[in-house]
Amino acid sequence: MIEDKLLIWKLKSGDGAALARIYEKYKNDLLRIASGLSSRTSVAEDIVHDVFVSLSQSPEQLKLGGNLKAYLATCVANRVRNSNRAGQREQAASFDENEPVTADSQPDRWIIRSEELNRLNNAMAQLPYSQREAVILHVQGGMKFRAIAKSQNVSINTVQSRYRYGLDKLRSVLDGEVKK
Amino acid sequence: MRPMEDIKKQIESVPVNTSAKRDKQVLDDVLNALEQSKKELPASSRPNIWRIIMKNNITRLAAAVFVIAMLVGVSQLDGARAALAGTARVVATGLAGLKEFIRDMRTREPQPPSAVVPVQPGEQQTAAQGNRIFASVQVFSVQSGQDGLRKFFETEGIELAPAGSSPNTSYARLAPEKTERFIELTDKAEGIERMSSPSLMILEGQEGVMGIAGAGEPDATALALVATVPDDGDSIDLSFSFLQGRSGFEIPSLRINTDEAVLFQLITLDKGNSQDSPGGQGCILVLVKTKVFPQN
Repeated sequence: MIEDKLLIWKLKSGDGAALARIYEKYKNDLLRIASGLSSRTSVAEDIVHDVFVSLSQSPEQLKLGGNLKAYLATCVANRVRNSNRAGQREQAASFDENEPVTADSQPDRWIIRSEELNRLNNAMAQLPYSQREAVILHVQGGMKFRAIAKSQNVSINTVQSRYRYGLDKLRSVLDGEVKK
Repeated sequence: MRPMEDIKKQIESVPVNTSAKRDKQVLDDVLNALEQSKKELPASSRPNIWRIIMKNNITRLAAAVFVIAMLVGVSQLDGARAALAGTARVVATGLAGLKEFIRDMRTREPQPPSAVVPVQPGEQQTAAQGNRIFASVQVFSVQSGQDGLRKFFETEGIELAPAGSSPNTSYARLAPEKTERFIELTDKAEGIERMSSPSLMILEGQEGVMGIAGAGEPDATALALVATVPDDGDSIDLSFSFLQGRSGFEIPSLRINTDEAVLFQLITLDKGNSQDSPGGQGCILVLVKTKVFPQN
């Protein structure tokens, strides 16, 4: 996208308006990706916050030729992975089931959870992490399998398999919910 | 069983709503971090003098000559006094030159994106192939009422087609004679001022980016351009993208004849945010002319 290249160019020259535009343009996508990968809302919010802060601290590292959305999605996925490695394992059942979904009762929350988001994230939480990452980065992050494979340091075939299995399982989980 | 596509659509379209208050807090954090990073230039972004010297053949040769001069000087230290004086002169001159070079490197301002063809990582800079397109842009600000301009467009039969809403933009293709008459008008008419005349040379299919107005201001305007040349040789396909402040839009494909120009009219609405300057309607005109230099 040419607009993204313009934004990167302006951000690299220190333009706050370009950064604000990138934030507006991609914050929802990144929050969706982070909350799908991490399950815990507070961790997802912190990760997206940190990704934007990190972007603003070192805009010179951005490459004009790259895909901005894929770059940001990869940053989010890497941070979620690091957060998991650091022992902050997500516990799917513990997060939202006790959390009311209205905006008023979540005054300090960034993401205002909807029923739909909760249902999808609960289903996502039942997938192995590697499958979840492949599905989310490909479908929500718009990343190509090759790029996901590179970021996960595995072969494209592995990513495609993870994606297929993940989507299959997700379908059976969501279908099971409908049948109930 | 639902088809896979349904599941994919469900994942893609799941809504995410955010708290406006937290949104603002996070954006403030992010912008503060940007301001802070501008003040503290990280060590990694400071120029690496040795790398700069070794990158360029001329400076690398100069450095080699300097080192040899040093060695020769040392080897002649026990020789005649004249030789010692000569060597000292060579060394002093070399040192002064090197110091000046290093000072120049340290104080050099970050270079704006130049009018050269952007090179993708891993691409050979010298292996540029394909047609080259020279784009010259003339940018005018219309300061007073736009009646005269409207009349001119009517008289010349120039119909502006809508191109984008933020900023509110319209465009028209101009035949060579109309382009000339438009330039005459801008030279004569009061209230129309030339703001800038940037130009750039791009490779076919690769984008070039140029700032066209208000550099350094929050509502600075930049233009990106991609050009491709169809086989007929008489036309050129152009893609434009404008970014003004936080708004932007693209015109993905516009085919014009090679001798035609494209005129954009950008209406800016939010000119006055301060108490001293009340808001009003401003207008920027951008005339883009291209010339194709076929591949040799």
